[in-house]
Amino acid sequence: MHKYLARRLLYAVPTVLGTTALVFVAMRIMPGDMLAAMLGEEGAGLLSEADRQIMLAKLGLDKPIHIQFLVWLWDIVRLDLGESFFKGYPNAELLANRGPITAQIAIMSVLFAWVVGIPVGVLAALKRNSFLDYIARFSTILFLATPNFWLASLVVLAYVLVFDWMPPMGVVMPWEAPWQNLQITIMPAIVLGSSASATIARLTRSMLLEVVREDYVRTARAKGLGESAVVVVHALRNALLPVITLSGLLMGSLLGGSVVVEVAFNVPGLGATMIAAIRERDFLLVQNLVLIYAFVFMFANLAVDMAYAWIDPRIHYE
Amino acid sequence: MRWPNALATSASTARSNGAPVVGIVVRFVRRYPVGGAMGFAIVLLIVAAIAAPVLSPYDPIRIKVLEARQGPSAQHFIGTDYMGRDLLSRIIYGARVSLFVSVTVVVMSTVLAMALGVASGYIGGRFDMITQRVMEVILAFPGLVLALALLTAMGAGVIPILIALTVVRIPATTRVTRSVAISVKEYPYVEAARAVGCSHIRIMLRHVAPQTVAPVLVLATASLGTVIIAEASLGFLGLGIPPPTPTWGNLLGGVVTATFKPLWWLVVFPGVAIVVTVLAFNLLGDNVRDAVDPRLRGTT
Repeated sequence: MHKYLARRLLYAVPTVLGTTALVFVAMRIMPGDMLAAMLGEEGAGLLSEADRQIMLAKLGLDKPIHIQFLVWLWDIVRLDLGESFFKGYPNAELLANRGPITAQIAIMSVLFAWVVGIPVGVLAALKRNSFLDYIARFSTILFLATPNFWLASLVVLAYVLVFDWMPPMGVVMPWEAPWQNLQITIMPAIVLGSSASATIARLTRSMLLEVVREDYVRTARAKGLGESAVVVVHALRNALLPVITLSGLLMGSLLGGSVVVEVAFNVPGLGATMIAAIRERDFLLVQNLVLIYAFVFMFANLAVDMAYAWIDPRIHYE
Repeated sequence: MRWPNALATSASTARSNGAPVVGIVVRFVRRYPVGGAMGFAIVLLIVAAIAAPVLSPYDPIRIKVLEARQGPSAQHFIGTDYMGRDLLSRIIYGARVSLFVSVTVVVMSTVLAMALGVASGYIGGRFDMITQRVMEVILAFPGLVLALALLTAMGAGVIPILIALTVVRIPATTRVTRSVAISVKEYPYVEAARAVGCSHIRIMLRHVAPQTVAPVLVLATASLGTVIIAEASLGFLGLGIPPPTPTWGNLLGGVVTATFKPLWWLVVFPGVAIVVTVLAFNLLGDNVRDAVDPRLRGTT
């Protein structure tokens, strides 16, 4: 296992370097120079040549492009994320402030997706073609077609028009004021988890339907096990393996979705910070944020692969 | 991986009747009435989008302040927005953008990914290795985040949106076509083609690529709806196709937070348009998958 982990981390090195290169290149292919992009053509035109040089030097843009890349890599290794160009405060502080709420919403949404998706999928499979199954399948299809930002907008609309209430604003850590924190995070997490739970319910149902046809399930029944033991111990355990793999892949859409949901709910997390940085054209912050999202996603997938090897004894990574 | 190719067989039987496409469609609709109905609904939607200037009751862009913030009524079936523009007209025009972006992105990414996947699987070696590493890098990003980064770099507009969403969609299809190409190139008929002197290009185009059509078709129809949602999300974030062009995403961007008392019709109806369209695409996609791979039938 340790060997496998070490090898996976080694294999990740080119991908990590590739992602940094892609992000860096993407931020440098903008038409015109960076200052013009940040300040607008007009604003950049107003700068005197001396000021221009000072600003370029401040941003590190006066060096050749490959040096800029290496400097940036070294900054990342040292965990130095620079400071916000327009606001002047350190980016690391900003991210430490905004990161926890995004992580919290993401984890809560994954839990919601499992807690709702797996039982619904199991029930639908066990009562195949029943009324319950049709309801489950219909809502699955419906949730897969519903964009999370619209669902979020409907929830906010209901807050205002029906309940005449808005969740508290600002960043509140769960250990400081749990109730206030829950008011901010619960609905974003449910909205974000809803389409993931639909995907999980769908896969759980189809995998379970496949697994109950297997010989070992028939054997389990034949030796006189009760139906719940057959389903939970023998069938579900095997049916859930692909669900775990899927959860890793779903992290991608959850991370992307969290950006949209944070904006829709006005939650001050990393995603909302990234959109604000894009609008303010604070490119160095955007560059670092995009990279953070990629790293988190890669790490999540690695964790899922490890969990997979741990749960399924048939898999030996040598 | 071999795909039991129901479409190919129905195509060959229909070909003897002299109308392959019509044959396939008729067979599909008979077997899958839901998919057929959804296909018909999508055709209607496309016609409505093309005929938007005729169908929509008002100009979707012209501002009429005196008619602002009206609820659904006989004049404006689903109300007007903050600037007095008719919401129904804006949704009909918005369909143009959504459908155009979705179909273009799916076609572009599918064609590129097929070429890349077939070449990568057939040629193998260093070319394959490099292609796969590049795909892994793209897959390392959450799709929407990568699209946002690319849009930041390229600026807003139709072409940047098309490029950003296409790049995000390429790796998945490339992986599928590559795996088909790898298994197919060992088949005796490919060896036979090589023996009679076919060039590698010809083998890839005529003998390997056609084998990937069935799985690629399934992936492509399934992702039409996904791309519509992705484009709408970008529009919602205000980073999609810039106003005044009405798109389904733009219509929803910021309406809830715009005022103290949001206008419910501005939130509800554009979303309904998205959900209904994506639902139609997804149901059609499910039936296309069943038709192409009967083993999966009834599992979802």
